Amino acid sequence: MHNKEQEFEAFLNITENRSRILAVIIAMVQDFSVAEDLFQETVLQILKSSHLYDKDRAFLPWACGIARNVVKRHWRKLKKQPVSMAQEILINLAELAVEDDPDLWREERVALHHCLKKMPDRFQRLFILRYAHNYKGKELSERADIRAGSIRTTLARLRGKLRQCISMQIEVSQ
Amino acid sequence: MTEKEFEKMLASYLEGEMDEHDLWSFQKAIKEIPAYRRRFQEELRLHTLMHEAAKEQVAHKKLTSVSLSATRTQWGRRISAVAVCLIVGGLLAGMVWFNLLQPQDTGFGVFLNVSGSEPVKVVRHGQMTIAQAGTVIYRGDLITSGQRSRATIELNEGTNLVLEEASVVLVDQTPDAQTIIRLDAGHALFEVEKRDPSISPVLVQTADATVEVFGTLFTLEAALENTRLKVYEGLVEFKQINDGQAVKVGSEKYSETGSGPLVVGDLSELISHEPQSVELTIPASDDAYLDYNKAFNNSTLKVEGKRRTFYLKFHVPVTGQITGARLQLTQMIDPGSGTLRFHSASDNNWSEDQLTPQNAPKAQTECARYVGVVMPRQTIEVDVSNRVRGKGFYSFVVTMDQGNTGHDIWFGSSESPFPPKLIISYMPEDDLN
Repeated sequence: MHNKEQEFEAFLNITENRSRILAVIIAMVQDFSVAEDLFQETVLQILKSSHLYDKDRAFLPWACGIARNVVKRHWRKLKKQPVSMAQEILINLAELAVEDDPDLWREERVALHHCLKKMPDRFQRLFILRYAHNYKGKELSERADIRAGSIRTTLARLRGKLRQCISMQIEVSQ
Repeated sequence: MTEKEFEKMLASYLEGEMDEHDLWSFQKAIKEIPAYRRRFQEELRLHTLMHEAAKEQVAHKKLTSVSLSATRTQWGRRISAVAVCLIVGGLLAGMVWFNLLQPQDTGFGVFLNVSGSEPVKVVRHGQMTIAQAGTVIYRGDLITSGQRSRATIELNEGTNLVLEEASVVLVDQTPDAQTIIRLDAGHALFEVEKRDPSISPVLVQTADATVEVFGTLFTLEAALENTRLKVYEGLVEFKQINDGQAVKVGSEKYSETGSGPLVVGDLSELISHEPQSVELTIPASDDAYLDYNKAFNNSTLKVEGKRRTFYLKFHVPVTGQITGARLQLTQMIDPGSGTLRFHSASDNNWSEDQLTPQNAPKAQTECARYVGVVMPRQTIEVDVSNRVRGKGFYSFVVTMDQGNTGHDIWFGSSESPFPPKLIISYMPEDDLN
């Protein structure tokens, strides 16, 4: 196959698997901004290596392997990589992260959009500050006007409410 | 580890606040207890999807504000009919936008036509379907054409879009009903219906530029490097995203994004450096098929294993240099799937009304192949540039590999509303001299 065609095929595969590749990176770096930058780097690496991809094998594990290597290189470059054991654990967790059913990602994405529309204003502000603007810790608590000590709990509660809504939404749609 | 302790750790992990010791315990629990593993996957999935959804919401709000400010500008009111050609770069940068937006229940547009030897795909909620004429488009649909396929799309609000080969486009609408067309890669022709200035303009986006239009005809093409805008008629505002610089590009002008400031140049200068080929669509002069050695010259062209073969003859009248030739067939009545082989014919001494097994031309070199499904009303296209070299007659013998029973396909013949076409691109002799 022509190299350009291989790149285009890879491009389509990335499109279909974007969220799961991103999840692998998030599982390792636990920061959305860093993860988005490394995702871009991963996309470049996938396109550069598209001629090496064996079409008889699943795309996602291959792409996730590239994503993990990109994160490892990032750690080395920063010279702030987690100590070896922590690094190993994060890599293991990233591998476990996307073992789940790809249909769940599709269903939950649709359901989440419905649920976000129903979200109370106080959660909406927190949601945007944390998940779009990537504020964390003290800065997030100040901007969201939530006590610093309860930020983690409030975020967990937000996810819990959405999780509950998503389950109901999926149940209804089935 | 209790469930409460695990949940606390999970929240801490997602915030990146976990120390090495806790990380080890956390991993151990996930590996050993299936319920915790599922919770970890579930929560990371939600965490990732929430991030993507939040970024989409913010992007939507930005687009809405751009739309409102544009409506207030004077230049927008002056636009009547505009023809623009926009060449877009940034395939890679465009990928950051690949979060699908939520489609609504009502259709947003429809595929008028799909052609070529590869499918045109629609990604909706992460699920891919193959487009065909009549396929309904919903808000948030991501549409991709193959290296050898094209599609014509009509949006309900009046915009027509021809998606060229190897292109990726997303169609959507803001909450205040502004149409957004995002070209991430490839090349597309847009025809935007003239609209009242009080109605939001159509917003066309690329990875590094935006164009707002109130009524226009333009094309978009994604290369790897940058965005180029060509305006043939009318006026549009062309904005470079990275520095916010905007220029007005009028009739017969062009501009392109890049590292420097936006510069507007004469389109004639640009075009004079580009080869100007002309396209000509030629109907078949003869077409018929043999079925169990019996000839048929009716509204269909049937092909099936050893049983049915069809024959096409075209007369190419041009004398200029031929730069490309594509053969198009449109399915009629019976769809199917398999391998279609297009052979050059041994001679042109046959006619559709006197075809017999004895005088039918023999299949010689295979010059093109189509593999896959042919759906109702689908137009398939194969490249026969290697066969059509200049003025004269060209005959093709079309066969289909033997498959399972019932694997046949019927295409429209010259006597049908969906006739075969030979589309040639050539350099007129005046241009060559």
